[in-house]
Amino acid sequence: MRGLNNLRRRAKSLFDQRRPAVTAAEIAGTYALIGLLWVWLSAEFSVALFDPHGILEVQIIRGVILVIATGAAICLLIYRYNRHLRDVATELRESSARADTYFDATVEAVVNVDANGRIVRVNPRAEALFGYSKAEMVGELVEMLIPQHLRQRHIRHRIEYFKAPRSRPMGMGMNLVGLRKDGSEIPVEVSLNLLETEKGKLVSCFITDISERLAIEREARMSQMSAILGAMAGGVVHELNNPIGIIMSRTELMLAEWQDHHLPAQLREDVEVIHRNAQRIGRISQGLLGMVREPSKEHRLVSLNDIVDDGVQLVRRQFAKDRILIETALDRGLAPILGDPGALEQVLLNLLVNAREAMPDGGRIRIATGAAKGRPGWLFLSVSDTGCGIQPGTLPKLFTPFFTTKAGGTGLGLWISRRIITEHGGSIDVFAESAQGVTWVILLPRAETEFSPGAGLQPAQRPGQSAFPSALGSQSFRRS
Amino acid sequence: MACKILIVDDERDFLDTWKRVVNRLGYVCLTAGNVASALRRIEAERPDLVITDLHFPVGNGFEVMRHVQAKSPQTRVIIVTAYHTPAIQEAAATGAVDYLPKPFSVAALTASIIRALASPKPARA
Repeated sequence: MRGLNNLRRRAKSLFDQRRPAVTAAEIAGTYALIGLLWVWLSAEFSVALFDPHGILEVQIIRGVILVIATGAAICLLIYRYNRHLRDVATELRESSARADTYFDATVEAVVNVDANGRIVRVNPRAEALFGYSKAEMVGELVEMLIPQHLRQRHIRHRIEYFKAPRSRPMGMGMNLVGLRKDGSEIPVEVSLNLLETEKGKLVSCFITDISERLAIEREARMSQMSAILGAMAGGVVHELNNPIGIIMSRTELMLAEWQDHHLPAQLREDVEVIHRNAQRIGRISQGLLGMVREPSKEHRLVSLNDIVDDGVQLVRRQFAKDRILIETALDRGLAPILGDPGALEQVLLNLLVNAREAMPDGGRIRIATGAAKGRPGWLFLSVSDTGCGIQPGTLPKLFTPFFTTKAGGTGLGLWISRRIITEHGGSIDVFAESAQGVTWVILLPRAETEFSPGAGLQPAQRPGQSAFPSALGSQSFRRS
Repeated sequence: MACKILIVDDERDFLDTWKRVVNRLGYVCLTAGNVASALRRIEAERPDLVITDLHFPVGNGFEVMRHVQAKSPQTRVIIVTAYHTPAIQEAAATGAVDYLPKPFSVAALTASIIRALASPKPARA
């Protein structure tokens, strides 16, 4: 953006500072030269010089010489003027080509909009960002790139803007959102640059997709939060479990000895409610324990397929009772990963239990493993269900601790799952685009295959060091 | 003769609760509120089963477990803890017949006691 402004300034100064086509000195010089010729060829002089009697011939010769000299001077001036025009044209072409190159090659999406809000020009990056072709965008209102619910507001802002246009960032302090052709929304940052052209005022909007930056910020906030929660939970859980245990067992004893005490029915119900809720606190407390679970240092070579086989084995019978069919599509030639099989199985079971709860009337779960497409050295494990899907509004909160949509849920399952996957240097994402069902995709880095198992485990066993570098640093585990 | 079960925990309410459960099962229940008194009672009473917590202000449940292995190898041990981690579970597996993370239900402890008493007695050290 700054580059383009520089270019514009440079082009302007080119015109301001350029020498005029024909300088005053040149005109004065030419005038003096022709004047001298006049003097030199004046009647008296030429008569004395050539032929005192041949006045006519002298007049003719003088006339011819003057015509030729004047013609030559005019030709010279025209030639110089043309050369000047050509130079200016070349420079203009070059600078406009540079501007075009910059427009097309800039990493930001650029959309030029006229005072009526119509798109007049877009660069390839804008096509890629919004998913529309140039032809689809040019001529349309810029509001096509803005989610429906924000359009009216944007039109008002735009009209205001063109009353007193100036270059500035757009929507300071607001969360700006763009709309893609496929209907998805992207967080963006926009800066507005005013262009004065012969067609009138244009505003050049530089649009940056900030979803990645926001994701990193969110990640940082999450890990900070989990550190705090982890420390807190560790202290609380121990103190909590004893009293919960005592409440639970005393109420159980009361219920067991009910007949002996001849207590009224209402009281029994009260005790049952106390017991049920003590159990609930117990579950939350167990969830908190998962939170303070130390990352396992004993990462070893494990096969994702074994984890799936073991996990499915555990739940298949129970799920069949709930009319849930589990299908697997496992890539049997899959390379191993370095990991903690117990923790990974916990993640899988978590996803399976969630899937079951999303399908109270039964359904199908499909588990697949394989090499990640487009990411050499990475493996995927996916779990899809045919359940009730996820409300779009809850998607961003899914991995937040204590967020739950289930009555009696602890809101810790997915949070812990993600923590485990992150400890393995991987990522977990949910795809819930269709109204029916969701797909969870876990990506994990493949173990270095040239390592012998012993050598491969060495770094993982070094005390105080996580077996996996962070997700970003995991390239070192990949084979190029 | 009824089986003798020793429960070791520093929480009075906990001891009283589980004493009632054990008595209801028809076993003799002994209690100890700290590690030192637990070690003494193990040597003196040679219980069939010791149910011990792990965390105490002084000493810990693993000491109780090791003492049982050394002084009363015929006694089985169940470890209960409010601070459950896989590492602790693994450590418990080296000398205990069962491991129960708190909080647990009366039914869970009852089942665990019955299973423990039915398990073959540990070989003499």
